[in-house]
Amino acid sequence: MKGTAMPRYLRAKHRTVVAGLTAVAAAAALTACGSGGSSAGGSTSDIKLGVVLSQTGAQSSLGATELKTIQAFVDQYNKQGGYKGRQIDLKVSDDQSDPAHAVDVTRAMLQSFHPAAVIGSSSTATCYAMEPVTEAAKVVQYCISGAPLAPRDPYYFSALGQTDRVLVDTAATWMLDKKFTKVGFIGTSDASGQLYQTEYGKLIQGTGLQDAGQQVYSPSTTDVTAQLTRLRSAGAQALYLGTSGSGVVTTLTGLKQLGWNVPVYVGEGSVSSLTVKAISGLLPEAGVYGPGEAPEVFDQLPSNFPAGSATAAKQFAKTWVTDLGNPPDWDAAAAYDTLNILLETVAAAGPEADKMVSYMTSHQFTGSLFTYKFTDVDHRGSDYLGLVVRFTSNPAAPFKLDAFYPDMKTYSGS
Amino acid sequence: MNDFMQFTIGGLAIGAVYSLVALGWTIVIDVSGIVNLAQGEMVMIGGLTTAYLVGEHHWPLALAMVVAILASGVVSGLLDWGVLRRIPSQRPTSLILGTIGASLLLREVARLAFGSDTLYANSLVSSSPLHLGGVSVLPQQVLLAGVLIVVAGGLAVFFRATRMGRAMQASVQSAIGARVVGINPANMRTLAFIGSGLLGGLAGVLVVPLFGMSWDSGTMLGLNGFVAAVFGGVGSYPAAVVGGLLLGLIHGYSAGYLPTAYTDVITLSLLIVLLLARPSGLSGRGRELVRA
Repeated sequence: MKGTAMPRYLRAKHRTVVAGLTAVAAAAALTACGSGGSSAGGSTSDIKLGVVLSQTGAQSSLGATELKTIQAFVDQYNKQGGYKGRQIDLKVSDDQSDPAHAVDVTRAMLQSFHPAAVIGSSSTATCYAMEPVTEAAKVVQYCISGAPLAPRDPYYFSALGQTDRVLVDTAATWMLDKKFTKVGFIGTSDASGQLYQTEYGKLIQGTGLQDAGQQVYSPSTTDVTAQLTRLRSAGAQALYLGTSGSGVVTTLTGLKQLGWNVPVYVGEGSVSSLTVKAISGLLPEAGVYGPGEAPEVFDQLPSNFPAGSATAAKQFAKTWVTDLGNPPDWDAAAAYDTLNILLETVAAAGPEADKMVSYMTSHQFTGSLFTYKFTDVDHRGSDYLGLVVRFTSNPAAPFKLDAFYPDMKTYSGS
Repeated sequence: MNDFMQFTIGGLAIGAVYSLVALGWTIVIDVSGIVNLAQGEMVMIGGLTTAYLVGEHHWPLALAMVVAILASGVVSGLLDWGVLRRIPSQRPTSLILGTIGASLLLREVARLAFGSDTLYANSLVSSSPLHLGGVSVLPQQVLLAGVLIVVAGGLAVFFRATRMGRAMQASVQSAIGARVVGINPANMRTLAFIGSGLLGGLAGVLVVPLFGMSWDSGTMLGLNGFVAAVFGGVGSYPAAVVGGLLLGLIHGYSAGYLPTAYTDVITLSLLIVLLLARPSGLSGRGRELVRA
């Protein structure tokens, strides 16, 4: 994994380094024994949570909202006397949207802060980069991105519901509902883009829609008109956008330059108020759509929407939207649910990772986005409720409910 | 055919950006021989300052653009006068290290001052695309191409027909000789940095309506500008323009006809081949960056 491999020039000194590390580890173990080994997660009066999010760089539109949410609700809890009487101690690091940097700051945080769990990061690429570090340290990591991972790492959880349900089934249902017959993919070449492209492949296979082509570009690319021209010439009636953050702006700028009025479907990571702000002048008339969540359209939910989920969404929205004056936002709601799941777990099971995992996989959590039911083999633990929203150009009311599919079929084969 | 023309227009449009950035690189390399690795940050400062003044303080766009260009020029000038001149060893490696440090510092200062989000500004011209025979282009891109022509022509006139330009050229050819006739080479170098910063800022204010700008955007724009300068021939102004346009066309055609994930691989591979085959650039008029 990037950032963890030993550079070649260090191998000659391997024995010396190993000997030194053994001595350091022994000293650390003695120190831990001397302190009773209770530092992880803090004392009984504190809940220590590490937060590694993308506050800068390409994914900052996600990380900034997530961090703002976590800090706002932690402040609220602490002012009210703490979570179940225990103060919350946060340590925050910025991974700069860079997987290698995510590894470094996570490692530093685990060594210096000893959190009970680490929240982060904001994207698939940085979540995956952090995972070997948290697994080696036996610390629960809760990724706010979809970032699925086979259940080989017992300590890794991710915030999003079944990725296939969000990125395949919802998109497929929506595209078929709109009577499209030929669609195209454009996305970035990083881990996030690769995940989207894989899901798009499942969509094509499951629906029988014609594929107008799959265009991939480097995240640093500023002009994608050539890629869009290829998709337009291939007859794409809608685009599946496999990127988030500034990549959405790059693609919509290209569409605007080409004067190509085509509907665009984005991933859940892009359904954020900051993205709305960035693309408000770039929206094609045909619209930009994405998988929505109840908090984003809490005041537009249809009458047949599940009552429990509607109530939880409105509770979140009351504080986040009404009291704090923020626009409704998926990332904010995901961060809010993440924080509450971990706080409840640490408060109930303590800071020891195995006990936390045991608690999380044997209890049900009612969040603003989902009802989470983690199992031993699935640490995503939630189903998707089938909302699709359309972006508006109004930052105060960024999303309009476009469709609700309560009985979505499965197109992903899972 | 329409697709080919669209790839061509798109390539030339992005190539014009690279050319403008490459001209900024070229001034400093031409006058001082220094590879200023903070040049991309001058582009970033120009773009971000414009977007910030317009978006946060509601300045008139034209005024914000002028202030942003001047800000880039001042920062670039200060980089030479306040930092590089103070480095005891004036060897190229020491100076280049100084510019790397300045680059990292400016990125962080920009992040703290402007925030981490990508900022945008409106354009002086219409944002609706022009459609010419099935090919689309934004008026801002036409403006950028026009500015590139004016700047390239202006630089040619400046270095050939003005006393200041000839003084800068003289200090390049012989520092001792220049001092004999009353020209201070150190001041000429600072002027080159100011000019380079002004060009970087100009590129920044012109691209911010197209791509937006964030604290870390300058690095890739600067790198592409440098590649363009090397493509054409380091130290040659016409070659920098040609190199930028060529680089843009390579980007456009490779994205249009080849697997698009390999665009950067193709571009950088071509650069390596070029450096091996023609160290002085395609034009053959540039200087070699490293001599054996």
